[in-house]
Amino acid sequence: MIIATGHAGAVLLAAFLASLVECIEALTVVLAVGAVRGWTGALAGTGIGLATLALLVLVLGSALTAIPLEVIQFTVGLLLLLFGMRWLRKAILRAAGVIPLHDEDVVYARETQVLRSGAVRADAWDRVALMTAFKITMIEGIEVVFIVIATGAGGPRMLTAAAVGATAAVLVVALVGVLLRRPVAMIPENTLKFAVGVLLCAFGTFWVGEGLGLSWPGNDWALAGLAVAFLVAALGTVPFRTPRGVRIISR
Amino acid sequence: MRVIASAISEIWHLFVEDGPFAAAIVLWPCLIWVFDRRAQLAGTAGSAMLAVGMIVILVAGALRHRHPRRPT
Repeated sequence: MIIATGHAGAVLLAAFLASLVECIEALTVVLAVGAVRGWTGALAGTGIGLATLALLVLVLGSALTAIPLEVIQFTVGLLLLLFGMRWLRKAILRAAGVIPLHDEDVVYARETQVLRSGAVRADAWDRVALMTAFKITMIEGIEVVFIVIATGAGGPRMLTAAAVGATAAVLVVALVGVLLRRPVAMIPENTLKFAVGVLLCAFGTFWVGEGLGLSWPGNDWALAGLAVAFLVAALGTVPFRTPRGVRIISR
Repeated sequence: MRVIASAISEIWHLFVEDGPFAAAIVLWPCLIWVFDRRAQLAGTAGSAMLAVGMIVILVAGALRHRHPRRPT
């Protein structure tokens, strides 16, 4: 009995710690997206992602492990890269002064279109924020589900312990997210856009590599290296795009 | 359904806005996959090639990008 309780405790702790890493990765992106594009879209995307995951777990259960993870990793990674690269390129061009900090052309076109349509919807969600939050929640959430299934493979008692550990990790990370929301909102807008672009590119490249079956040096730690590499490359590109006589805007 | 339609529309918009940039992002991993299967790249060579390629696409995309001016 004592041994079984100890084993369940170890499973709970393992599932908690492993899930914590995945949840923090998702939180980083959701926080940044929420601060840049608005919380409605980011929270809606996260909510839809969690609901989809819950539905998948309820319908498929342990059969979920039969879905090839590589296909999900590659598809989600590629989508993150498509959005992230565009986002980061715009942040570079904004920092260089090539396009305005608040892209007036886009705002102008959007507002004109809304006014012409004659229907100003107050509840309109930011699609990019919604989709980015949804994708990152799905990919990291599926990882958490796999962690629960893998660590709880010893039977129903172990599966329960693993599920409790993973749920605790989700709750802890959600609490951290609520606490960090205000400080993140104080970071200058283009700096945040830069950060989101760098994060999306790093995660996208990492997941595409995982999906292709490539090995990363240092496994998950490669994410930090990728983020630094994208940041250095992006910052290094800014001076080459800055028009002569124009000061780089750091706001 | 609305979320799926939004997703497809957003992805389509990426290709309409800058086709070569979006195509390069999609094609490079595919090339790495083909190359990795044929040449059996050792260790982390494949992941390094993937990351370097993506950074080159980003830098090249930022350097060649021309922002359209609003008609006056």
